Amino acid sequence: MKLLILLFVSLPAIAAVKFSHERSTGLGFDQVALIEEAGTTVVKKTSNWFDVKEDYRLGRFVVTSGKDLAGVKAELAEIEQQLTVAEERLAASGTSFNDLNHNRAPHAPYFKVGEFKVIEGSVLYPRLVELSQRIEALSLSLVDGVELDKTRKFYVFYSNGKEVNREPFNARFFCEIPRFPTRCLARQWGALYLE
Amino acid sequence: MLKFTALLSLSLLSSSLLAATAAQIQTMKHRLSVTPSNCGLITSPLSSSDKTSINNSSSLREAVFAELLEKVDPSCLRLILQNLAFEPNNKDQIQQHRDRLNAHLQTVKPVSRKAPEVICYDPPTGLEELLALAKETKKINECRPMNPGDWVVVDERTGPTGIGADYALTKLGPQKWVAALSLDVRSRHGVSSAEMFGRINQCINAVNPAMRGPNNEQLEIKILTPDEASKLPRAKRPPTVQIEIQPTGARSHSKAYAADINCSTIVHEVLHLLGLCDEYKGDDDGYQCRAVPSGDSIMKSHWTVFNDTIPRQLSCECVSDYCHKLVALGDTDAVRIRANAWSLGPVDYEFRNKYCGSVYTQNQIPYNRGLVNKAQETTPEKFTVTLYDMSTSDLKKIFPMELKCECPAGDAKCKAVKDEVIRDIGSYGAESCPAGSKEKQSIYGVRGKVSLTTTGFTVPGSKPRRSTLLEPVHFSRIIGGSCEQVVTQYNECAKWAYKGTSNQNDCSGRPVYCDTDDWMK
Repeated sequence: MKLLILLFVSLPAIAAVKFSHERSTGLGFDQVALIEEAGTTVVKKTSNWFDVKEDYRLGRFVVTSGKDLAGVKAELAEIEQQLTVAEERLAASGTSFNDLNHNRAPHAPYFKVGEFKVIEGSVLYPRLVELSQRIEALSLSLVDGVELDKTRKFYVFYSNGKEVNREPFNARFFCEIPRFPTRCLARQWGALYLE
Repeated sequence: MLKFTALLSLSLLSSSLLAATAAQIQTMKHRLSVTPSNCGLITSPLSSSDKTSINNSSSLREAVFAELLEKVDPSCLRLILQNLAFEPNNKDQIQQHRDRLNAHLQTVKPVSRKAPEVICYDPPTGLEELLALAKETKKINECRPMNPGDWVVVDERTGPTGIGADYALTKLGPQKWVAALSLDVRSRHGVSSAEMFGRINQCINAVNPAMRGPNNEQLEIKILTPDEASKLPRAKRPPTVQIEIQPTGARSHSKAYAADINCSTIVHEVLHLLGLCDEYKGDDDGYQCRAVPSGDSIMKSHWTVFNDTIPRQLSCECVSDYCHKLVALGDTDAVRIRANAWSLGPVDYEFRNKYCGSVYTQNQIPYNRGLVNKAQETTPEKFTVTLYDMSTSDLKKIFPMELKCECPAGDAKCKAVKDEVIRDIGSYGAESCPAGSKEKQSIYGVRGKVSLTTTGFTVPGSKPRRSTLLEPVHFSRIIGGSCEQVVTQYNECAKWAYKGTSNQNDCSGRPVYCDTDDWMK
């Protein structure tokens, strides 16, 4: 029994990506994702590429505005249900939703809802753009990750919500070109597009 | 009286519905005749007052549907079928349209191809044999060696890799090929279509000398406007591809170029239109089945290969007082030191972020015109790079900086970078204009030398280390046109480039050779 409990405790929490906004290029992978982790909804950001407001934090966040999150999750559940039904209809015709996506724009942004990939041109795409903006507007608290401070002098690293380290931010060291706008890397946490 | 009114209302309603449907049909027919390649336009709502789109089956009458299947490219048809799946089954004809579209997509017929040779044959055995013969004829035609003056049009229906290839190919001679593309660039965000088109054209013209095959064959890429393309006969006319312009900034993708898109990215995106797939790791976006070669390539790390291949001269314009003062010194060595301070070749920002600690700045030292960046090994895994920059507070002083980098045990790629930078750091030219200046123009094709102008300076870019942007297999794929029998391993691995968990593919069936570099040979 003790062994079983030990095994259960030591099993890693399985995270399920419910929704993500993504883009893949040769430079890297930009993602903002809503993830269910052991009963908690977290937001994971590897890039500020999709941001609609200035936020130079990357990493793993918890959502502090519960009411807004509930609205987002309800909308997401409805979209997921529509996708599931659409998938069933396509299966009856001998095909599947993801199979019908084209690759004509391999670096274009797209959405993922569960296992479904939604590209531009889908009837769902505008609705997912709106949903993505609602997620951007959520109040987020950084748990693990990095923040570029407002003076742009330091990268401040966080673990369990607390500052654990800081490193001087030398734009010439971290960024692609020596002027803004440019892409800057933030150690293992992703990339910031700075203007 | 009430009954009459109700009947009249119903008949008026039916008439208006019929009228609306007729107007929608006309709109659809017009769209298909004018811009069959514009999927966004075709799938958009049919009128401002009508929220339904083409996906509403009551608008899809037979005549329009048949024209749709004939004219619209398969990638758009796939989206239409995908969108139709959101319509409930009980709407008229929905299921039938879905089944028909799907059946069509399973056996897509090419449109813009040369007609197969007529063979006089009296088939004794039936339809299956005829179809097999037609397929065989198609293969023979597509793989027939091209003679000078021959043309072939490759589009998504005929491209062997499954990538959206859209070009027309001709052979001018034994060592010379031309691939023509038609780009419809849309003005947006303060950049005119003419300006962006000009930039694309200038970039491609500059890199064409480096589009070479394994035996030094030359591939010339020609960029045409839709107007120029429309004047070509159908058999020579490349399909038109739409390019949108995005706002200035590092935000672009293959069908939407940022207003300040650079030449290396333009080249990479244009090569997609010639049928080449991405070769960088696809795990992060669910394309685990993608084959990734061990070395760099223009489809894997385009900025690296571009900088290694295309000589260029940077023309930098001063935008700060400091820069103006530096230029006013009249000392080309001071400008060289400033421009080359961060010219570290493969120790670029991605390498530094992963393998190097923060940069250490040291005490300023007196200016010395002979100073050149250096790198040295400190242990078999560690190395130090010393950079020199002009002091921004005192132009008679130099600002040394030190980078300490470490390669983890077993990281052969990191070690190769370490060995290279230690050997070659002195030959690296400027990769971008230094802070306090902005790039006025890069002249591709020449390196030039450091020189001063009234408003700035020119500096040579890095010395090329490669003679061609294309791997041999890339060249062969492009000039192979629609032929599936050239570079068969490349074709097979390319088909897996956009498959993985993102489309419920577990990569079973993927050839084993895609895990080696064999597919790139």
